[in-house]
Amino acid sequence: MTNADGPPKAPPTPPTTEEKAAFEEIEWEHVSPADRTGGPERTVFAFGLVLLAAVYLYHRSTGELYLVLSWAVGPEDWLLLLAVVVGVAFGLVPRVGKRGRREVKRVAQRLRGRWLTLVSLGVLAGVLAIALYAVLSGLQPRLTMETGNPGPDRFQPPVGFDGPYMSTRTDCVGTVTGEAVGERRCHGTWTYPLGTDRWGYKMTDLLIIGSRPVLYATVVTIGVIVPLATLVGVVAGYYGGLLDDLLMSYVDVQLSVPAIVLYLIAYLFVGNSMFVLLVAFGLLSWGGIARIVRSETLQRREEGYVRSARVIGASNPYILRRHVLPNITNSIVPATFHLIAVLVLTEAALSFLGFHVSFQSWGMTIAEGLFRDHPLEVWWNSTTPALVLMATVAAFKLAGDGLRDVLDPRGDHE
Amino acid sequence: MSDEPLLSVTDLEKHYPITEGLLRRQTGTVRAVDGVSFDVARGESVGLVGESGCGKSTTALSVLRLEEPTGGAVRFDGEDVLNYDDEELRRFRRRAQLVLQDPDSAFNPRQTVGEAIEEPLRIHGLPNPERRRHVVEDTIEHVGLPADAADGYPHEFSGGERQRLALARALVLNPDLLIADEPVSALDGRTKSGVLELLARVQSRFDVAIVLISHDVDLVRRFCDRVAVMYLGRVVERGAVEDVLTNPAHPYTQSLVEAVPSLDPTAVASSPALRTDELPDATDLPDGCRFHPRCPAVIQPEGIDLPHEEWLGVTALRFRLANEWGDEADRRELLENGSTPSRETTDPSFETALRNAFDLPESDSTAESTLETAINALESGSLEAARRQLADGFASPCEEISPAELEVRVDGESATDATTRLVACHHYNDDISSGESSAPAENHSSK
Repeated sequence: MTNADGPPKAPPTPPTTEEKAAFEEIEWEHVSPADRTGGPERTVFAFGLVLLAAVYLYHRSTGELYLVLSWAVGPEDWLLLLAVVVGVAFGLVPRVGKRGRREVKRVAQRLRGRWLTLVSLGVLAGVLAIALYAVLSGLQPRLTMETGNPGPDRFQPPVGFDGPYMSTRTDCVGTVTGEAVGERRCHGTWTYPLGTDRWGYKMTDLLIIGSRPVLYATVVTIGVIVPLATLVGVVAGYYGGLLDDLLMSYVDVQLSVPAIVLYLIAYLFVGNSMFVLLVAFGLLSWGGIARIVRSETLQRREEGYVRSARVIGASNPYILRRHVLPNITNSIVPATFHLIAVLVLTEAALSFLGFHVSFQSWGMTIAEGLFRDHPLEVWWNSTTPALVLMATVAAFKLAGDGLRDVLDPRGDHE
Repeated sequence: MSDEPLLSVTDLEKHYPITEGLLRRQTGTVRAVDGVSFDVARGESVGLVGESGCGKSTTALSVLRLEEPTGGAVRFDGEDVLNYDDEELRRFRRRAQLVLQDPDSAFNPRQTVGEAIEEPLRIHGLPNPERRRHVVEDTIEHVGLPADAADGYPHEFSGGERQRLALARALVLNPDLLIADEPVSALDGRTKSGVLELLARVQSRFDVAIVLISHDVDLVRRFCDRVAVMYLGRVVERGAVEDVLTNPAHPYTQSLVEAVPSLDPTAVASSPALRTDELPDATDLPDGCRFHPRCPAVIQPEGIDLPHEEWLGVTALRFRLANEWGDEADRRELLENGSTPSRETTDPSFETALRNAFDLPESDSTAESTLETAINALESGSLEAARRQLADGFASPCEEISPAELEVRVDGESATDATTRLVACHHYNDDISSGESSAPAENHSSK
């Protein structure tokens, strides 16, 4: 072996003890190469599915209306539970290990100081907690009969405001001011902090009940729709070939079916429910996310770290999970939150138009406050749910963008 | 050093089909690697050099089975790599590693560097996290970075540091073979020599065989023991670095070595420039010797004996007609530009213009009659006839026969049995180049 003017090469020296420790000590033949691709996740997922099926069968056999507490379960609730199983298996379980906990800690550290994201997440957590309470307790709005007069207390204004005395049908709980009967104003009281609607339902109850669609939209999107879109997109982008062609052709077909038409057909023949909405607008709207994921995967597949991982013998599922997926969260996370917001708004819009997807949802309450004579006189009936809806949707969008930044370690030095 | 080389690549082929439509009907083939052979001994460094697009990287990926080769054989430590089962492939993945060109994409931005370097150990099943951590820190120190670099994210390091860390990741399994694909071409000068020094140190200390893939002849000269020069998916010349790069035998190697800028401004190019800088279409590679459309030393067919420049002029005209003769526009341009030397001629004929533009001969009688007919055909607008005429009259053996690798000994070189020089060029095949007086190097120096 000759070398003209290359760098001087030391004659082969016996390795020092240090080098031995670093390079020689591992006796690979005694190490079992265990490919632990998604071990615990899959176990938990399979167990969850079995458990869900068992609960479903048990519930069917008892013929009870309620599953737990006062939760009257319909098809959308089983979808919700399926989403919870997926979320626990693939969202929570990987965070339990040491590495997962470290990641969570890092993300939590990056969250500090991002008050907008924190506030958004706080709002969402609050709304979701309230919605969970509403679902589990089977909450119904209570009629209000505080005054001695017969019948519920209709159109009581919120505390600190006043409304027309005539709208309450001379049944005001608070003080009444003004002379002529037509001019009299009814003042709000703490009995009904946000007032009541035309049936005499408390606005607070209506707002709480109206939050249920948010829970369904969030959990089903995160637990079913986005995992499905991600799986399809990643598989199509990473493996390519005929599989890619078939999957993407299907996505094209699906994208060309207008969800609203499907919803209306289902509305006519199946009936109306949150389940129909989730299927029509949710399970048929993941094509866009799948396309984004696919194109991102196509880029990531060519990255050096994917190639390096293949050189060291990493399996494809491992590469997808550890190298491809974490690097496409930049697009998945905002798209997910956007889809949730769109679903919440769609539900509100349909309920507003009179398709009462989720009874007494925010959209329906807004419509009830508006579709009457002199809607502005009883503004609180439509404005409060509208404000809550707006805050929720804004929180989803802001949280999505904020989380994307938080999940990306490159944002540390901004 | 045992007799058997650590890595032996024989006639490696990687063809990519070009398909169309949903049914994936094959409409063509890209011959990215088409018959590459080379050997790498234990602890040796071999350079794989050539222009971008010549198949160097595809060769590396095929050798490592990141791309499945479509033909040929790869033997690693006496075993057939292409017939490995899963378990054997897994063992191979511990022993052969790759370092990539781009340090920016070499690391997953969502992982700490420590996690990335630890990954090979984890994948190959080293269960103890403390021990993994210890090995990782040790390796990082070996490549010249502090051990606590393990906790940093890739974006916190410079390009050179990242390339060192990439080297650490490749070394953490203590491989026998390291393929470095343009490991320093994304780095600037000083960082570059630092990483190279590290590579050399690592090689000598851990007795790793290195395949250095580069377009940079100088780099290979500095770093490697042996070199294989690639052109369009084939090895055109291989042998000891000091032989091949100081006294190149193949015309392509000559042009490659020549292309390295010299520090001496008075140095004169000793070999003629390539006829064109354009690479042939990868889906439609030339027959015979792949280099012949660009080769400044194309062999004249039997019966033709033109002076070198005139012969080159004739071939230039022929390839121009065969490939991209745009009729009227080309013709007009030719009349405008080609006629400049003979401006005094008031009415430059097409023939004079063509002859001037391509430096065509008027001497040799056989050649002249063929040429005359072809030019006349072209002037009368019959492109096909002109093409056929030229093809019949001036077809070089280089276009027809694919050159095999031949052992070549140039006087005064240090060739031993271990460093046999193999060249794939008809100039060294006496059966074909009998009409030619000598090898291309002498050919040029004589002019």
